[in-house]
Amino acid sequence: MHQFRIESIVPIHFGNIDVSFTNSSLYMVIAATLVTLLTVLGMSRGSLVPGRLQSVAELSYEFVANMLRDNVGDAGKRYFPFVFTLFMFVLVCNLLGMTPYSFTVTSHIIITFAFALLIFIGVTLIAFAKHGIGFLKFFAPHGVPIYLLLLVVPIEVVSYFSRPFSLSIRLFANMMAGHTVLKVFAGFVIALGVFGVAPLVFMVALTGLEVMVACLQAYVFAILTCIYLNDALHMH
Amino acid sequence: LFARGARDLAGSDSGSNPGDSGAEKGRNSDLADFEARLRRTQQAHRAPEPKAGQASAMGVAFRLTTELVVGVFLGAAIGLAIDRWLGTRPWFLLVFFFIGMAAGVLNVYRAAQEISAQAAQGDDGDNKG
Repeated sequence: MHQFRIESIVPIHFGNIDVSFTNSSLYMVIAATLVTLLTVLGMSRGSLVPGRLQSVAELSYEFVANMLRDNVGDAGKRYFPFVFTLFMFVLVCNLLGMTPYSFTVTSHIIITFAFALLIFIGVTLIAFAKHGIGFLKFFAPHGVPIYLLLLVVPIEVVSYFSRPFSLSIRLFANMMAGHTVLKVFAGFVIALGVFGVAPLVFMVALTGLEVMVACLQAYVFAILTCIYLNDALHMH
Repeated sequence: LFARGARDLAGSDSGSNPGDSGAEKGRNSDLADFEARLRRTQQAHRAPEPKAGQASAMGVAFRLTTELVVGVFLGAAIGLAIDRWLGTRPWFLLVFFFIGMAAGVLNVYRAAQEISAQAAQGDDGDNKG
């Protein structure tokens, strides 16, 4: 489908590697700029009674701060900049995708997987930095007899390594499925002629649902990052 | 927490009542009042608040499905990779397929626990608020 196609805007080749500036990169730049503008412009006034833009900036700040405090505790404060950036970027990318004729960055598995892999590697490094080699005990729940460990440890390891996959597939599949469904219903509107009003009404509702999914998936992405961070810091 | 709040309130009351004996005293009581309010605000900041967003049923279903599917596929992929490396097809594939299934079920179980814990917390907050 056309909306998922990646087109290069400024072709750049680095040896054999294609590092062209594509429409995907363009929308990532737009998203990053929007988030920066929101936070910088929103807080530039810094008035006691916040205006609209400042309200949005403060609300998103508090939302992520609360999320981190609830799921990680005080130890998580240090990672607030990372989680906030991640949440805002994914959220803005998802919502940008809802504007007509735009490109949805998060509907490509490679991008969500890159995010998830970064989180996974980062969290694992934090865990090893914090607990040293003792983090390996995370894979062996205590109170399990030795002979069962042979079975439990591989299961836990596979479960741990499935994290970046489930994290990335969930975001990518939600975004892609939503946009595909919208496209399919849009096709019905034309095909049905006068009766196309019915799918058109349905599409309006579906667009609302998609906006909700866009926000929800950004939230889920951020909260799972918090949960993984918590596991790394506190080894439940 | 409530006891702490009540004590703070009582403290600030007794501090501001005998405040008519001079400016020095008044400033002290203001300070005490400020301390109490500051402590209360900090307390509120530290207390866990109910979750703002609650996943929709479809979101929950989708999350659980991906957890299960990813577990099975990752198990099979690891098995295949080891087999290709050691040339022992299909034994590691078989073993890791089942381990992957178990890991998928474990993931689903943990995700369901998290979701139900979140839901319980949300209900709690609703009842109190």
